Amino acid sequence: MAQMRGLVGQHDYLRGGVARGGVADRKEWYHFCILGPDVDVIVNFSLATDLRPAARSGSQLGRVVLLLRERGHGWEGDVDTFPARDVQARAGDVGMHIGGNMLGYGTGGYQLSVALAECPLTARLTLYPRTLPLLARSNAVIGEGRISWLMVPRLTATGTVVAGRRTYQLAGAPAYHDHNWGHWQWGQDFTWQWGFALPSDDGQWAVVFQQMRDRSRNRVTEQIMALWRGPDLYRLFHQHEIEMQSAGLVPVRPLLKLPRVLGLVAPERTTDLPQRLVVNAVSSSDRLRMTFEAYDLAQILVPHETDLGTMVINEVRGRATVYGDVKGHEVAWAGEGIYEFLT
Amino acid sequence: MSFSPESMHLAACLRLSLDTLRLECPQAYQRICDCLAPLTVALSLDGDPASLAFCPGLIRIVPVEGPAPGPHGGQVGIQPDVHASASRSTIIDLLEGRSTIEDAILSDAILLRGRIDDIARFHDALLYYVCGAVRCPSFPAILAGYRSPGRRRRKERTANRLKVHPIGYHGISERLSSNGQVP
Repeated sequence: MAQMRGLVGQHDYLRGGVARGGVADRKEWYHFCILGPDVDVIVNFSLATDLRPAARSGSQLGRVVLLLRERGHGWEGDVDTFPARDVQARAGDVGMHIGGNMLGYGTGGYQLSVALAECPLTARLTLYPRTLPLLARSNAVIGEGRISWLMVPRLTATGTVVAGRRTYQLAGAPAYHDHNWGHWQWGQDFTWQWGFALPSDDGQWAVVFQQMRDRSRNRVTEQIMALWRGPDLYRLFHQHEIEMQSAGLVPVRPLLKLPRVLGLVAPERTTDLPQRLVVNAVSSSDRLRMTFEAYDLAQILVPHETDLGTMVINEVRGRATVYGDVKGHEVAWAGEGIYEFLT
Repeated sequence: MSFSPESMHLAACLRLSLDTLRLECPQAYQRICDCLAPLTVALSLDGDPASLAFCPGLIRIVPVEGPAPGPHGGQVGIQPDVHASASRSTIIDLLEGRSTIEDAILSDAILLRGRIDDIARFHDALLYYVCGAVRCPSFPAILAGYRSPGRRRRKERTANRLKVHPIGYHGISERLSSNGQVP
């Protein structure tokens, strides 16, 4: 276990610090999803070149997203933005400080401490890696730029989450983490959908799928589906080995849109997101099928950097079943997950 | 209705935000002008009035339904093409995602009056205003000042750093001369 944590620390380091310049549209973030029994938590620490028209050339922004989904209370959260002077981030380190929020990595795993500025939500969590990290994409094409993607698909989370007067103690909750970096602009010719599922019974499996398309969503440019067993990547399917099918629409209900003010320009309460997403992967004698049933979503809205449009990052909560026959082993488990759909 | 010191509040807020938009997101400012020129819009927030005249490439704050210089120096009254009124709490609800513009209109929390085509253009311009505002580095301070009037002093300090050139209470002579008619 100590060796695994060491490997994660060696590979999941910040590629560009806050002071590092040179690339005009650089982006980098650490993303965490925690699936607790009574609360789901999504945390994102990001650094990005400030591409707003009046921004000083080369200036950067730090952002922290905290999004909670409480059983019986729905979604709540916010996006806090900070100027570079409020960010401490050094290339080579794992983590960063943004405002009063902290992401670090020590012998115990990832340490997260987040408190939103204007929304009574806080999270103090430690996430212990249970799989080795995978650099799933390195300098892959995204729009007119490049993106790299490192993931640790299964962790366990322990700590405290507070929403107003409600306190949740998490002990060993299943969690997912990825780290993306590269350079591109929101609004360029791409969309993505990716998701993960983790077993409900503390099983040792994890599955992740990812697909890139053009903005019209008619042309698939890249896709993978990965299966972990224990700490190791067990099977990786890619490109033509994968087929995705969708059916139905995510149920309509009041939607949380963040930042809230952007909901004024994207007020729609309906989406064209699939209620059921089936990912089939077949390669030689190996077969894997994941069915994801969506039941709730929230949206993070991002202003285009290419024009005055708005991009929607749909965070979709659902249940998953995974069946297959891989390397002579039967795969059959049910679990929980999140898929993210860019529209 | 005449111009009075009480109307400075909304007018001043509009002037600050539109100057900021023009400097920090000129694309959105231009789109608003494209949508609404050569119309005039009368706004009222909790009874606090302000009127805007939209010209190609420029938005002017004009006296509220008061006299304004005509093309030959005479005085004409402004007859706004669109009237929009709301309460401060409605605006806060919109900013904080508790209501949508459509909900507010359908529940009469926002009252609109005018030709339907003009109202549709006003709606489009409003969305461009929001699209521009979220791209302006100085808007969070303006918004904070609006949400909490006690913070207004800080907001104004921020605005001063912008070195904006305030747009005064101009007449509508450009508009009249551009289309040659009294509205």
